[in-house]
Amino acid sequence: MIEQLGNGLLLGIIIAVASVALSLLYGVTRIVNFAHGEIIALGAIATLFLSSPVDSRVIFLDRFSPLGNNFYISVVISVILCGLLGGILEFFLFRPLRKAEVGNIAVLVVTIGLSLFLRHIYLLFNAKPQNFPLELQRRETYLFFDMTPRNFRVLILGIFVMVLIGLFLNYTRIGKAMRAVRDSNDLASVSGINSDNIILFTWISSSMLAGLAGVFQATINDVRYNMGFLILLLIFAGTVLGGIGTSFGAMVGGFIIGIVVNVSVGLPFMEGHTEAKNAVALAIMILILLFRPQGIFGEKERVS
Amino acid sequence: MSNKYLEVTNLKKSFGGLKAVDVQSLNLNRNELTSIIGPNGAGKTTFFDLISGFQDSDEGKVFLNKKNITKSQPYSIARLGMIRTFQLTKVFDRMTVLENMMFSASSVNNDSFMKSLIRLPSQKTTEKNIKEKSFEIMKDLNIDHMANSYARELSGGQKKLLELGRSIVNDPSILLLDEPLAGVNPKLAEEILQIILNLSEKGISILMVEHNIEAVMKISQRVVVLAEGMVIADDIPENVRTDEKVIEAYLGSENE
Repeated sequence: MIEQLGNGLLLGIIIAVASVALSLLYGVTRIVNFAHGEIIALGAIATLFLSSPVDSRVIFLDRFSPLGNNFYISVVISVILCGLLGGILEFFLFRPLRKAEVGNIAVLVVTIGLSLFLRHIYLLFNAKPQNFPLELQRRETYLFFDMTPRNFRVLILGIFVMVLIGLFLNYTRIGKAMRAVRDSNDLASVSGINSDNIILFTWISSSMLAGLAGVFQATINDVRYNMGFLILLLIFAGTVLGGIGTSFGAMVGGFIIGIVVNVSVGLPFMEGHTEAKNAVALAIMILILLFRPQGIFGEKERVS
Repeated sequence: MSNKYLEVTNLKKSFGGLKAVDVQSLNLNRNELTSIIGPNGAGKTTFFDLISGFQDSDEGKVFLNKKNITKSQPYSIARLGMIRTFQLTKVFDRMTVLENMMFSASSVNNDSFMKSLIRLPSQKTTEKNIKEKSFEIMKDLNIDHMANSYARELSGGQKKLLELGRSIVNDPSILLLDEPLAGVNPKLAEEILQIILNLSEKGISILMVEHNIEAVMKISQRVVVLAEGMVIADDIPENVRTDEKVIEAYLGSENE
């Protein structure tokens, strides 16, 4: 059970980072972004591409040669690339759609199409699951949990990133502006905020966070072209569970989902059915929503 | 020096075949309290949207203090000191009342991206000043006891007051008030009218859309009547009250 809890913490932190990114984007732009998973995957795939040894044949079949950069530098570049993708998507796709006043549902379908498109581009390059070029590590004990030093670092870094996001949203002026645009775009405008800039910034930062979550996920598991899509449902679950549009809720919701997924493997009736672990997490999400429709941290709003 | 602060010429906007706004000329003088009235669907709110940048006009020009703001974005118009309110009151729901005030106060002046990331000591004193000023205004509006409540917890009337408060916290030169009395009880309406009068006496130019004709006649220095998007009267309240065309427009709309 303890072992599963340790794995749960790890998955929880990853889902939490990805959920808060999704939630920020939804809050500010009202876009339900199904391509979020593909941005996550890009973070991992780009890192793999940049960091794998030049003489290795593991990567990208025979289409591209890996670059053999330092791993950490590769991560930084990949996260920046993800931010760049987010910015390009906003600037050339979602901003024009917004100016043309395309409805939310239509935009949602656009993101689904984008998700499929990107995923199949990745598939062209990289069909097989692959690992980051990192040496194997022995598990060690941290408090009660056995995990590799590398995974432990992922955990700490994840927590650090979430604290940073919280501080950023509450104390910096641009964080406040994001909250303002989230509450009312029009009112933010008459308060002198250029909401287009805030939305662009949100796309970039959300995508960078997603890319980082992808690197985390691939560090713990492996790199797959559809890795983001596989955990997207859990990310949505985390966002909804915590309360749509609240960043803190998304963090907590994502964390809970990640822990439940892994801990449920240890339940007696799950023996031999570990593939069904996501089902337990989603069932718990549905149960909680039955009793708290607005999510754990979502607030009921005064109707009039 | 000309006294015209806001100049609108030949402003036109249609939706499909419907002419929503067709204003030949409308000027707002400095320090004047002007009201726009007119039957439902006369184009009052669309007119507001056009001059505050929320909708693009098909034709025409808008000048604010000699500066052409015809195709400007709402945020840049706000930065020029023309602040509007909304018919359906808007507040930042998930911020406290104080945060609402302070946000509106601080965002207009400072637009540099890097400056928004780092906090310099000089900004700290500015913030302290902004806080004091916000409290002063909240006290005047009698919402200071709600300073730390979330804005979504306010009643409709309190939201109206907060909206007024945040629109004046930045010392605007001109206020566009879209139905400031809509949906508030008579006592609060009296209070809001008094607040508007005080603002006007402080030297803020005010353009107000309002359905409460009695209130409009009482406090306005000038009344503009819109019907089917066009200005049919523009005069002091006493003259507008007895204007044939105005009476006809109002009766006509009631018959429909």
